[in-house]
Amino acid sequence: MNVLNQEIHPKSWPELPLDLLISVFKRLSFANFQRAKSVCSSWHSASKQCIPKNQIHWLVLFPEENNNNDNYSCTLFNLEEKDKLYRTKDLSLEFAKSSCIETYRSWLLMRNRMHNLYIVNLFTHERNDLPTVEAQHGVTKMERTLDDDVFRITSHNGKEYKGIRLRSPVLWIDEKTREYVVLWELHALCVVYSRKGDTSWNQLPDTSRCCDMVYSDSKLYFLSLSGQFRIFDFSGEFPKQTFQCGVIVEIFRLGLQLRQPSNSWSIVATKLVVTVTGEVLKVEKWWKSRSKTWSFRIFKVCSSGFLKKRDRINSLGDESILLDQGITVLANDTDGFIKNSVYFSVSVAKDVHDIFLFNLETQKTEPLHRFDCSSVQFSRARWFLPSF
Amino acid sequence: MENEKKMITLKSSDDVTFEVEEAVVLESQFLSHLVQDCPAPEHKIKEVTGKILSKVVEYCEKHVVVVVDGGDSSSSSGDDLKKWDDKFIKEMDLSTVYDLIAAANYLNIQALLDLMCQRVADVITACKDHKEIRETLGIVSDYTAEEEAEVLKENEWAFD
Repeated sequence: MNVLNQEIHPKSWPELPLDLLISVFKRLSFANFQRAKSVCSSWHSASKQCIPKNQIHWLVLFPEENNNNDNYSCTLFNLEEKDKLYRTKDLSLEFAKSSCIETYRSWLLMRNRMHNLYIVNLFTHERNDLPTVEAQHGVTKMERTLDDDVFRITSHNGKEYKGIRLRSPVLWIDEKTREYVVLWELHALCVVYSRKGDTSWNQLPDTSRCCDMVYSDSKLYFLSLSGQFRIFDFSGEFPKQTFQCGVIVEIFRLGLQLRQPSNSWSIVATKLVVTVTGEVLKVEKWWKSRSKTWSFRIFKVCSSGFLKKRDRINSLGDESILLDQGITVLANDTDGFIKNSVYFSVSVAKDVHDIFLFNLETQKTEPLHRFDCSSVQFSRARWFLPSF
Repeated sequence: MENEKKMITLKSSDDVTFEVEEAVVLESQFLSHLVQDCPAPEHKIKEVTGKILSKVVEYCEKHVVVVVDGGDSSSSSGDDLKKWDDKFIKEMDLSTVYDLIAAANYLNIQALLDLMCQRVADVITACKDHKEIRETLGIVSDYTAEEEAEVLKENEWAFD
């Protein structure tokens, strides 16, 4: 080793103690963090114990299934490096033919043409196939007729339904142990879940007509359209209901009604949000079609064990709601999120999700970004919040 | 109020001495404990060289909150201090940055440690790929060709 060179560049950067290296890493943007990981083996192993600084929204553009060069990679765009586009590795034709129905950090919940589900990590390509959808454990029966690929569902009271409706999908993964939970609602009849190691979908009793669900910290927060709010504890072998109360759920309007220009406000969605301190909020998304404006109303959902009058919240303080994720984050105006705001994405033509920010103080919505879709060929798009 | 400022002498590993006010020493958690527990006029800091200790003293003297007569508390204004910090790190080579990270960590001066870690993060951010990071920081890769290919494959998407 050249002594002079050693003086200019200490050879010791790879030997920087772990906690100091982590405090460097956590100041890097997500993409720069990924580059730094590849520098040497000690940095690579240190990176596994570190979460990059500010989480920012990324947009994933899914490949077209009939592209000409047979490369089915996704294009990635992020709000921090707006002049850059990244490409993932080739994710196979099956991936191109599947549709993404939910995300959790860098993980995607995908549904293939056979209606079967799998989860895949966009960056590492780790993949887990989930039980076939007709493998149901519970009182509602389901069979797949192979010739016409139709699903026949028989509910607990003998009613029959045809086809499959997979609604309110939820995905959660422990980044370290890779334990996961996937939940969805089967035909407005019940919520089903599958955890790592399960060979079937387990039905949760008393969970019909789901309005919204959020999974956080081993708990499932469930709200039905009829106003039943329930909390299920998933920390044990079987989920256990630990709380129940009534919550007013206003009827919301969908589809056609919304396209007619109107000067009145209507509720277009009711969502649950779990705060950083574990409080549960009900968030109503309002829309005025003539002026094309959104507004949000936030209420506290009682979770302390006794019924309280519903409380409207006018300020989130230092927190911000990520509506798509059903959580709040601590927002610091200088890096990352803007406080006292609601982040939400909206599907428009070609399924590009525009992303918006609703400021609770000014009651104004501003677009966080509108992606120029002319530059890239893709099938669908979705905003997500990655992790490594 | 004491009018006479208490002075303390710090001695580096290579026996360079610095005479500083007690308030300056208090910027370092490690030194303030040392001064309280052992009220000697001179303290030897075996882990830090004179070159680096002079930088530490320079930083702490700038950042110390000076209590002037009458009890008013004044320090350099935020903007000025930031400008000073920027100049302080820009003029520094990466070898000194490395040693200052180690010293700030050992002496437990959080603000200095943050400043230095940010400098390294900025250096990494300015590099276009892992090779440039290696070059800039003088890191010799310990990967075999196969290992490197595998790691790069994992992060392939992050390179243009």
